[in-house]
Amino acid sequence: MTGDAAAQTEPRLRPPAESLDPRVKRLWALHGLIATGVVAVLGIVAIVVWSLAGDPPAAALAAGLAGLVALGVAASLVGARIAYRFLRFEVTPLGLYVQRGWITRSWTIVPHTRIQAVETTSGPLERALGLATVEVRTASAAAARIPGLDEGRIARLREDLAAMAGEGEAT
Amino acid sequence: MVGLIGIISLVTGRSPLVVGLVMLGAVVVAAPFAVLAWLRFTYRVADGRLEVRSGVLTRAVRTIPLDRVRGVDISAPLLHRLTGLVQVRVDDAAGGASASGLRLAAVRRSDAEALREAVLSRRPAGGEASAAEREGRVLATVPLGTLALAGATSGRYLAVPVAALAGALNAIRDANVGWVDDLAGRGVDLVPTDPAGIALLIVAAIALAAGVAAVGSVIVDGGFRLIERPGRLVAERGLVGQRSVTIDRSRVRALEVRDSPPWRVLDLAALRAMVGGVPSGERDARGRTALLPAGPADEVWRLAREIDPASHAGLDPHPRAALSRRLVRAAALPAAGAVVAAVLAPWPVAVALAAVAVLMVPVGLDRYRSLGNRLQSGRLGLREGSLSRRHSLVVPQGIVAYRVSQSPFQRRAGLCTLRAFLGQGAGSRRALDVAPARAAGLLERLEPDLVRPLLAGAPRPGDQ
Repeated sequence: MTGDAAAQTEPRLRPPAESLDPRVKRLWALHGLIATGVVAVLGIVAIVVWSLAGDPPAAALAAGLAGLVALGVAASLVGARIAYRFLRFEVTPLGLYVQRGWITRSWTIVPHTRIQAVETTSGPLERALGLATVEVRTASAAAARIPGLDEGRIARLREDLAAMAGEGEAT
Repeated sequence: MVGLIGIISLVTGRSPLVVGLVMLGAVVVAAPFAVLAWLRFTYRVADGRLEVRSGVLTRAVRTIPLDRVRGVDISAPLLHRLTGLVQVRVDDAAGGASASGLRLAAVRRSDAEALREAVLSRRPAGGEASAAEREGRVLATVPLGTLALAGATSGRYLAVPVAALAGALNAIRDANVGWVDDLAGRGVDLVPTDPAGIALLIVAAIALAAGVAAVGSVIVDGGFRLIERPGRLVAERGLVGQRSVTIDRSRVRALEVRDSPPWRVLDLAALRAMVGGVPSGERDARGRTALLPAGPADEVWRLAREIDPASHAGLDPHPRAALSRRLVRAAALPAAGAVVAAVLAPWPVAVALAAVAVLMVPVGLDRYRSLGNRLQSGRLGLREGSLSRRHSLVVPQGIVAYRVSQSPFQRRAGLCTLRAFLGQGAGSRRALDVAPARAAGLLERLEPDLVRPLLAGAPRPGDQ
């Protein structure tokens, strides 16, 4: 990921060590497909209603909708893989390090002593896949979010973070 | 209060008079209880905790551990001043800026100040503080003239009068009274349509706005004093409703010097502190507290150095590539609007937008020249902005998290943004459009042990 050209335009931070659970790709793809499905249904309903009510160019609309749906499906599948590759995290001895994003990239570093709470949330789809999102809260608005972790990894993460937070100065 | 009456009357369909009388009745009934509540408030500072007992029908005991107290805010709204009472709010570390904390609605000023002494010096109440300690040392004051000048050129207090005026106009229109409509009609006839007349009208409107802003500034900040007491700073201000905010010095995460183009011409600046947890309640809703609302720039920097001797004004410029980004971001929107307007709207609109786009070019230029950062003598200096320029001095110990971000445009230009998140309520400050090497370098200097293993070329744990 850091070739020669990239080394000059990107901060020289190496990628974090760990990736998410691979099942999260399925989760994100599902999110995308569901959204596409909703748009498709709405589009079909709209076309049907409009055809019954007036005299629209039904063929063109249907083609447009089909194209949109195809785009949505492709984007969901491909997007999930790309997002997976570009979201990585690492628990270092002194802090939590999360890299996120492909189009807009960000590298977040939170020292262990600043972590105030570790929160786990999971939506219904996540639960079905046995995954959850971990949100690490500091005293500021900045929370580091790590989605797509399975329970075992989360339990270990909590232990590690709790052990390393120790007697740091609370803010 | 009036607004509330209006809303209730609208909703229930009863006349405002009836609603007003009902509310007055409620106040009359509740008043004795409020007085009794005040009489029954006692507090105790011991065992590292503040304990307050209050209430008549429902007695309540509230406890806050002393080391969670972030600040004690004493304020005297107009009604309280008439009776010689004050409101006290003890802000603790839990929750957001609006939640929790301990509030005493109406107590004697002497009791409130004794409570504040006890809490902030962590001594049991009743200990004798020397007169000098109680008085404190005045670090800075602001003459009314400076406040008026600063207010008139700040544009900051315009929002309130404009909103009030709009509200009044709405109310008048809704009242649907015949003679008012006639007056409004004649007023509209009077508005000039020739360019000279319009220009005069605009000038008059600006002068009026500046005057209102000056008066607003004087009322809100008049009599400002910054007092130094052991371990804390107290900022007092206000001509009508006097307000006093106490800041625990160890909670100051950053100092900030602010100015604007008119202020720079007048050599004015303002000094603010970003504090973890100072209560909201006035306009500084995010833990920003005014240490000096306005003053000569030299004095502002002198004050900053007095409060924090490590303060420095040094800054290194950002890469040239940031210049085009600032220019584009300043002028692009109005320019695009002008193009759209040229097609869709009457020509004066397009011309106006084009003029705005042209005016934004020097703003963009100034924004680039304002960009700067430097980590020196243990303080991270960060500056950005033009119309509202802020030069922040961040205490590295106050940074809770770091984020380097890079949009695709930044990537193409070889830039990125480093953001330092400060403690709760204090927000964040950033180094905008810096070279990636500089961002990584700053990270390495701020947190060497944490960041060094993360730099490119360092081995990943469990690698090869």
